[in-house]
Amino acid sequence: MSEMQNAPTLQNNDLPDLKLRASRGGFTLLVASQAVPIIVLINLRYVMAASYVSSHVDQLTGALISLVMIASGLVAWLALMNVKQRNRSQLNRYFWITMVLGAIAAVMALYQLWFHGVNSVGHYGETYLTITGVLAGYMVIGLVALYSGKSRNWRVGLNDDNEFSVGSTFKYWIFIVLAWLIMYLDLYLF
Amino acid sequence: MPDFLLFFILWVVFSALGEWAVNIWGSHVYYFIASTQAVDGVNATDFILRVLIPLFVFVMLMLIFAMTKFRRKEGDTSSSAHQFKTNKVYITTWITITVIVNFMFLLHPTASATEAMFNQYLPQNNKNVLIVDVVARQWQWYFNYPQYGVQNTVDTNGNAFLELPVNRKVEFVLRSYDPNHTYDTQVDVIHSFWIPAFGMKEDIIPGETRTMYITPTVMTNTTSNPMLRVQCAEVCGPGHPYMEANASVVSSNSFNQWIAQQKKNQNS
Amino acid sequence: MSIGTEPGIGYGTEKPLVLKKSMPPIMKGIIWGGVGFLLANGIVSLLLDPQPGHPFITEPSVTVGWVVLMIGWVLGVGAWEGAVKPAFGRTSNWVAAVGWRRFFEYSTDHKVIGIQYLVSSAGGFFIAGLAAMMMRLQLMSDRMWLFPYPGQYLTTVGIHGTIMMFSVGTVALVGGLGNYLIPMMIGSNSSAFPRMSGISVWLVPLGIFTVAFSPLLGYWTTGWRGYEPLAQQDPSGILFYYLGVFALTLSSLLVALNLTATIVFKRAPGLTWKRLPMFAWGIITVSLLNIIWLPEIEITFLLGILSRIVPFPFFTATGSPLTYLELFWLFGHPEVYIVVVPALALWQEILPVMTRKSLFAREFGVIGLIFVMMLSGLVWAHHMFTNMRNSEILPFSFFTEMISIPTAFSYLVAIGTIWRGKFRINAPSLLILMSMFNFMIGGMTGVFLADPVINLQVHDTFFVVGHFHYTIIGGMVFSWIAAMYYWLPKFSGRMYNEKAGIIGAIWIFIAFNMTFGQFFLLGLHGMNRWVPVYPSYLQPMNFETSIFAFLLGLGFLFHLIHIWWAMKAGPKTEKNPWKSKTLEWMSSRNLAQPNFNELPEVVGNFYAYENDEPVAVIPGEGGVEIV
Repeated sequence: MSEMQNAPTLQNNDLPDLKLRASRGGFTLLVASQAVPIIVLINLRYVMAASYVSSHVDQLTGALISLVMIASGLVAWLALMNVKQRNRSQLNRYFWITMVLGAIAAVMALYQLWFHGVNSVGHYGETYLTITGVLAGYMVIGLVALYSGKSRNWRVGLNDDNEFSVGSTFKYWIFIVLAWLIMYLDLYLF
Repeated sequence: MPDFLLFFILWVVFSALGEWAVNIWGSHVYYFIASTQAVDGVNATDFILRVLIPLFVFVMLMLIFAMTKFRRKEGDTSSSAHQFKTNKVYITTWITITVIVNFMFLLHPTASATEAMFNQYLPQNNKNVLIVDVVARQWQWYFNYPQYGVQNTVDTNGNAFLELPVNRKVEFVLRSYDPNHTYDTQVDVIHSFWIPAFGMKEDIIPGETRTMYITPTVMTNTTSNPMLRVQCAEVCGPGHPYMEANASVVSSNSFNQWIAQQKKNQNS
Repeated sequence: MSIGTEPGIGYGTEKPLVLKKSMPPIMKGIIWGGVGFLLANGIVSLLLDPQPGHPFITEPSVTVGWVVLMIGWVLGVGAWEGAVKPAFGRTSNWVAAVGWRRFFEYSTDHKVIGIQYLVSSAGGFFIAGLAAMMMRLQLMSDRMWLFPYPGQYLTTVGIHGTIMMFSVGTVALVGGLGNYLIPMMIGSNSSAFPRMSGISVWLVPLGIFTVAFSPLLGYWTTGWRGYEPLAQQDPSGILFYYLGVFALTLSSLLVALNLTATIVFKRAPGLTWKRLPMFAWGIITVSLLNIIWLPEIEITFLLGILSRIVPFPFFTATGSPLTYLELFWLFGHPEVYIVVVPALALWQEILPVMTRKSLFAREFGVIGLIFVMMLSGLVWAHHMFTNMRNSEILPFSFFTEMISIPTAFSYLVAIGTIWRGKFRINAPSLLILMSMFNFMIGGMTGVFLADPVINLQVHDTFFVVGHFHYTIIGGMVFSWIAAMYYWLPKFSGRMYNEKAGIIGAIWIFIAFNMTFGQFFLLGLHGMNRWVPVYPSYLQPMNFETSIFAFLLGLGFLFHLIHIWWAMKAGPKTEKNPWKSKTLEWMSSRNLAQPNFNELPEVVGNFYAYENDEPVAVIPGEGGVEIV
């Protein structure tokens, strides 16, 4: 068994740092799997409509959503930087700002879905509506996740056990912001 | 090494028996073929079978050895005396053979036969082809012969009927739409044009036009051999099992007579 | 004392039941789901999107209603108390049930979850099997006789295929055996995210019921592939196909996330990658496939749903029907490797134990599994030789032929292990050999199918049906039954009846080969797929094939009854009757206890039989050595 002698051994598979690594690894896999539909939709957009952009698309609202999303993503990133301080009320504020900005973006995305000017039986229109709808769905899920993080922070407070998972709700939101921005470039500009 | 020698002898004997069986039956795996294209398919099948027989016999013999030669005696609980975790010769031979066999299959029959099929599409090989427009709709076939100005050919019962002259290359032009509702672009679905005896099928995609080349070589018809029938092979709704049409391959004289008759029917 | 229990994992006997549950969790799930469905369906069909004539059930309403039903069901069955309330920082009243009740609610014990998965999966197997029996009954005649209408036959085909693929093939070995065995095999007391699997298992019965009751909305005729544009013309039953598959794939996705993290991060001290059990390798490769491809098919099915209920022209004649086919098979071919990869790993797990001989060329077994995983995403379009561009055929033919090289590594390892071993003949070992035989035929017929010229003839015929039943029943189901016998002493502390096991194995082996062997001949003779009515010259062979198919169905039933009997009333047996060296045999199967009171430390190779050196030690118990 000489080959095994110098192999690294895990001391105890329930130690906090290993639990943290497990959470981190699991979260990475989760985000990877959530990115797959986005990749499929990007492909679909070019398969169906090449790089055509309809002149009826509401460019102003699209740009505004992107700005709001960028703002919410920045706040989320700021919050992530400060999670380690475990300042309950400060973090709560970050949660609220991210969620309010996120909710505004989600409502605007739903507005785009409802009052669109594009033709839904055209190939640009169908991909536009599908992608906008899917992203609105992602935003709603992200907002629920943020709310769960906010509640845990407020009711229980941060500890070694939940610090990563509460912080990861911000990470998940940042993932959604990036997904929106990619889709914004994809749908509205190129 | 007696185990090795016994295995080797049995492997040679059973592989030889297998090859002998392929020699007898290998060219009949398609049951009935009636086109040059189907011959390519049978030859490919035959070749792959011949190569795979020794590999198949190798694994099967090993499974039988496990149950006989290497079987544990009643009441024996000890570990095997032959403990080894690797064997460079065996692994190298195995990987070399599987790689060689796969690349060989890729060159022949995969690439060679596919190349032969692609050649059918070249314009210089299609000077005297008989063009048959095939339209599939749920759940019916239409056959048109544009070179003869004949549409919707039928048999004496009025059912769609495909008739082909023997030894003349046919170009099937395949489309899926409803000729009775041409304004509706959303109406039809994927069908698949298949005549089992011809050894080839091609899917028919709504909104696209596909072609398929066949040279019939045997004179027969659906009544005497049902493997010569037009059959939809891709599920297309509840009518799918009924989406068949009768066909026949005849001499060129009979074919000309049949065309004349169809023309007469059309004009009457 | 217990280690490795986080808050929420209550080992029943340690805590008294402090709260009486208001009603059985399953009842709660049904009520929450049912009320949720009625409310959401009503709001959509009556207020948001009223349609002419005001039907209560419309396509959009039933879709939205079903999603709410799914959420309500999962929450009601225990996720609300057990997972959601803690996630929102509220105190949970959830207490793990004891006794048989623990199987009928949300649980975080991986052993309970594994059993729940196995039972759900077996349920799916027999529901879908019943559908297969009905198909074979109809095919005994070349005319319609059992079903009055072809749509009913085609719906049966679809239900059979969908439930088999998504609730048995993808689930039994991964969700079932994986959840039960993997934490034990890697020396851990729980999986990495026990709540995740605890929730996901309840999606399986929901998915099975959704698909099985899809005819409530109308017959659908596409089979398990949901080909467009046919799916858009079909009656609305196709919606329950999409939604049921969504539930089942979501379940497998959550399991994949959990088990991957478990294998990577929860291994016992000393359990390095070089020592990782083969079944764990199988599970981790298959989980990576699941993580990539299950979201892909879910978004594809969302496109299918939107195409119906909005509607969008994605896949019509003016759109691109082939795009759906590409998207489906992009998932669809990795799916068959998702089914079979854990089975290949099971061969390598069980054979060394039964031959008392060291596992041969272990690294090639691992490389084989990894390369099958990587290549499986490159072969999808061999399902499309009949409809893709000619210029695209050859690359896919190439990759399809090449994937046989890493797949053959499983045989290389198995044969090297068998050679000059002391092969113990019993039900599990015999079933593994049978699985190797069947999968060999499945694989070799795959070589013919990879060849385009042959493929154009046998594609869409019973030849293909025979081929994939050889790989999936022959490869995966036979290995699954082998695993059930092999681990039966682990599950129950009891032993099956060896004679009955061997007779059952031979029974299903003969019936299986006589059924599906004839499928090849039928296909070559011109029998196409999806037809309840066919030319009369094929009737005699179809008739006898059906007889063998019924025998096969009875054979599976025989194994089910035998295994059930053995678990309840079989003779009691020692803890490790096969003298296997893997860790699961030294853990506790008692549901009220953690797997290991003290975590073992792995010091040797699980598959080495050249000596009796210990493979693992438990430090806390004075260095007890486990051989």
